[in-house]
Amino acid sequence: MAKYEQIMKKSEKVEHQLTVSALTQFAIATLVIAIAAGGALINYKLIALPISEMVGAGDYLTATLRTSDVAALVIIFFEATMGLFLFETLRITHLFPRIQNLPDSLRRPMMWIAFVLLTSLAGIEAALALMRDMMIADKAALLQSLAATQPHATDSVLGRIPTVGQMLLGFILPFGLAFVAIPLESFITSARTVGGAALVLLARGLAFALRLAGNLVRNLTSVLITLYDVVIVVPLLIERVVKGSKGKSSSSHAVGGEDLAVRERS
Amino acid sequence: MNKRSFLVSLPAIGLAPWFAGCTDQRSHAQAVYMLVDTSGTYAQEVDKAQLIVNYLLGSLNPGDSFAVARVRSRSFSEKDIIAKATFDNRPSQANVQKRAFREQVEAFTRSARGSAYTDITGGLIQGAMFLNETGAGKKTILIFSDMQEELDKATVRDFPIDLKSIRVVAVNVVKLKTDNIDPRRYTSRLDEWQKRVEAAGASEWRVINDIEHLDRLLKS
Repeated sequence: MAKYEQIMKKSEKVEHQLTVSALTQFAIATLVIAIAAGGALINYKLIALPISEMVGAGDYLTATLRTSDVAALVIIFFEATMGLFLFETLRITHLFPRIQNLPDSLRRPMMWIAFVLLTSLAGIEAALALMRDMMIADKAALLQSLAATQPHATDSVLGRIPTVGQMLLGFILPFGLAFVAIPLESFITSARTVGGAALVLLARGLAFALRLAGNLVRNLTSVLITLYDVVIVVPLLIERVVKGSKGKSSSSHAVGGEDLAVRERS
Repeated sequence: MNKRSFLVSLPAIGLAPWFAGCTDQRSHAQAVYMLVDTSGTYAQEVDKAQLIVNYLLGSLNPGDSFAVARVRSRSFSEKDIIAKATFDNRPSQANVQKRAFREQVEAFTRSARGSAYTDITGGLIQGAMFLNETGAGKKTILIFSDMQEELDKATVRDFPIDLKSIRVVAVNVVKLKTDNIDPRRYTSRLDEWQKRVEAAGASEWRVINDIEHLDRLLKS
């Protein structure tokens, strides 16, 4: 209750505590999301090649981006989305208030749909992983026949281990990706506080930098003025001397002229 | 695709609707036309041609085109094309095509007979027509020959040819006995071909005598 009162009072201590707490959440969520991104990369590697068998390996979206690569990424993102909906309908995460407010009669079928779709995608990925293994084996056999070398005799059980491993990975990784929903929620909720704190920090940093720059410019201008005074004093002295000598000669010349006029009148 | 490409492609997902209307229409496919000289003493080198064909089959991707044709007394003919294929976009089907292609070329190398004359120009014209038809982005003619053209009196080839945007690579240009007597003949022969090919609008002219250097050529 005391803490709540302090929060209401917006005391600096509580504000600091809350920011630190959000920062910790943010760091942990970022770490978990980074790990999940690694999993997504492996997942992508597993399905990119066999997807090219479906959408073609020669189509490009940009100069370097193949359609099959994008298709593989779309599948991975779709799996993550299904996972998000699954956790949302299970009320583990609370990213979509509309799903949270759904009555159980609607929420449960939605949950099962998300689960079935996710399982189907995982099954497809396992099949794609098997296909990838077969395609790599086919390519290797072709290259061996082109190189006219004898194919390596491999133990059948040993040879199957990577295949089974790939299939298992293909099946498990989509479910693993589904769990990203939890750190994603933490990430989004803490990102607001961390983002705000970062903005405050940025504004303070900017203010400091601008103040520093302003002071530097002000002091620099006074130094420049002083330097100018030092430099300009010599030409000014010369000017004064020159003007002084000119003034004397012109005044003496004027006096001589007056004498002449007086003589002419007389 | 490496990690960098993976990260680069992430924003592409967000721009999917834009991509739908603006996909890259340029052809990324590669087309290679290989001329194999079967004239005179060079017919002995045909086994090496098989190695190059095998190498190319291993390097070309789905969607690429490949043709192998022989150089005979008159080579401007579809009949001189030993094997040709535009590989399927599906990698598994492309592999099946490659196996069939290799068998066709193997059958040719077993039964290849030497011809009296060497019509390289006719083969170049035929190759350029094939490559232009494929619509590939990168077009290459490989000439597996000693580059010594010999035509009979009736064959006319002394006119300008069109090799616009085509790379021409002379492979395994062996030295003739006369070249050994005067090496300037070899270099002048190659220089003449370079001038002729460049005058025809070819994008590049190269001579590769070490087959291992073909790797760099296909990647560039």
